[in-house]
Amino acid sequence: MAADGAQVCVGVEPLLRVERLSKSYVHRHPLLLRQHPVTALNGVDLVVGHGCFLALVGESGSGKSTLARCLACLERPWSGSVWFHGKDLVKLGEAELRRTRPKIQLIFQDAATALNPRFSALDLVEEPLRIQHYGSARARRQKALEAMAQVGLPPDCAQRFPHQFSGGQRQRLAIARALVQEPELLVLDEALSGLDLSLQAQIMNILFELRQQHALTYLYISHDLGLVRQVADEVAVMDGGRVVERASAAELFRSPQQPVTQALVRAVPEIAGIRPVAGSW
Amino acid sequence: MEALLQVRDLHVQYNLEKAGHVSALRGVDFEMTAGQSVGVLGESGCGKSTLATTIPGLLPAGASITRGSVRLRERELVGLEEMELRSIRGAEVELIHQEPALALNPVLRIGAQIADIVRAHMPGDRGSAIRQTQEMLQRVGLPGERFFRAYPHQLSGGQRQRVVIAQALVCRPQLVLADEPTSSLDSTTQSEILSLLQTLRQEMRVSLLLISHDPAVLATLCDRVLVMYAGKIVEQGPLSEVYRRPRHPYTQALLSLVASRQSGNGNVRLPAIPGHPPNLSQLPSGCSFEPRCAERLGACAVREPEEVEEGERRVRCFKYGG
Repeated sequence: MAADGAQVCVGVEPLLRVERLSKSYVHRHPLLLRQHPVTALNGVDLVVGHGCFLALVGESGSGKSTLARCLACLERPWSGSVWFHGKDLVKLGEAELRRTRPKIQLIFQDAATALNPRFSALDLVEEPLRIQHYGSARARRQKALEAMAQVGLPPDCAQRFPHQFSGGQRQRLAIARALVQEPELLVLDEALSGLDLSLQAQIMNILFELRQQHALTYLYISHDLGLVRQVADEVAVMDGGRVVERASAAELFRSPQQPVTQALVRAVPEIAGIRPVAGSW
Repeated sequence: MEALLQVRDLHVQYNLEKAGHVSALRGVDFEMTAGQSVGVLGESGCGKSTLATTIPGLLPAGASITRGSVRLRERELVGLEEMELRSIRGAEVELIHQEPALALNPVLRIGAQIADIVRAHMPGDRGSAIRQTQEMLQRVGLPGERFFRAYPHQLSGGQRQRVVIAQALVCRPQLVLADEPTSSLDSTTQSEILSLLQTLRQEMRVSLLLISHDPAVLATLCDRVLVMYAGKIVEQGPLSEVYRRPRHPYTQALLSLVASRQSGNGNVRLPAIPGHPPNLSQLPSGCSFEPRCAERLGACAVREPEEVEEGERRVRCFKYGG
């Protein structure tokens, strides 16, 4: 597949369609009055199929995180459209945006800075429900505890604070906080990058289970192609603020087309001659 | 071969107000010869960074070496005065941190920061310090006046890590400790930095102790590997042998994760080591891996296995006698 961003997840309805999305930031020199724009997104086209696990890869500075922030409606693009349930998110007013944001949840790399340190785990997961005036206090609490259980956090850690959790548990907490809002699309921006291999696998398994239970769609942003190869249905490659290549994960690794994709595939560290130990694991 | 670094029965404890005593290292024992490259493999919290900070005497306040010795070329480092340690750090042992942005002074130009280190440890005047700095920057791939006069914020993450490597190697130390030097970088930059480390290590004949949670990172650079779990080395030996035939169930599990990642079977449940590493302030009485181990025996929960030696390989597990 070439740069047209066409769908490879065959026979799947698109959940989200990004068309010619552009975004620049104005860089102001701290002392001089000079300003110059930095183009972060330069006409991105991308279709995210319903229920797909789509990975978005690229080098630092290729625009992955800007795209994530635009999709989660945290950032206003300059031009282009993001179609979601028949509406262009770029043109929505603030009130409508507030109703849409819960459906597209963004999970950040560093859960330690994404979670308010003064809130207990339960308060953190309940907070989005309070903001949305969901049900009674009792119902909110119940729903929050359920979400925590789904990501493998037992009820006895409900009163603990973020600093009392390990890195992997904090990331679970961030996922529970997203989950409680019943999202349709989870955008994970390097969400597992700081974690050990075993924890990455544990959390990835939780994401797989959640996908089945809640018909979730994932946009998984990462530079770690090792994990991407293992988990993604499809991979889109970004370079210079555009999607330059898209293919199924197997196809992309078999024959990467673009130079940037080839460089990314080459950079995956490999160990020759190791194999899973039979039986025990 | 002459031993460059000998670590014997090293115990390190953090004394924290709330958590009490945390045993971060519990009898670490290994040695490395000059020119060798040794990898330390383990999950977060296994003590690998504590090991890296203990060797050059950089433990934070509240942490102390409770037992054991660290010898660099027959010189005991445990118990040395801060002034003596200062002359060793930089000149003989250098530590490369995970986060290059934090290791550099934001208000000094790159050239000035490195030249400062040269002047502190090497003979010669300012002119020669500047020449050595320029030469070192060139070797790490940052040539010319532009990088010499740059401030850290003007550089990318990969370039900053190159500066930190230049800083570490400029006084030609015998031993460089690199604590996850590439984890904060993207994968293409990571492979560039790893091959830079490999080239410089060979050209400058430095010994390297490389710490990582990723077995694949160590495979590109190291001759030997130490696998750490809960403050102990549970397995050590030549890297190619340990990777091809891991013995300790923990090593087997870690490498199985990597192997399944490389085979890329796509979208099925991933193998994961169940549970999480033990709390180092309340360790179980038996083997610390026992609660997560798929091959536990009766003895495992009762007492800790001893280290079993066979040729160049050592393993701590009852499966092999322990």
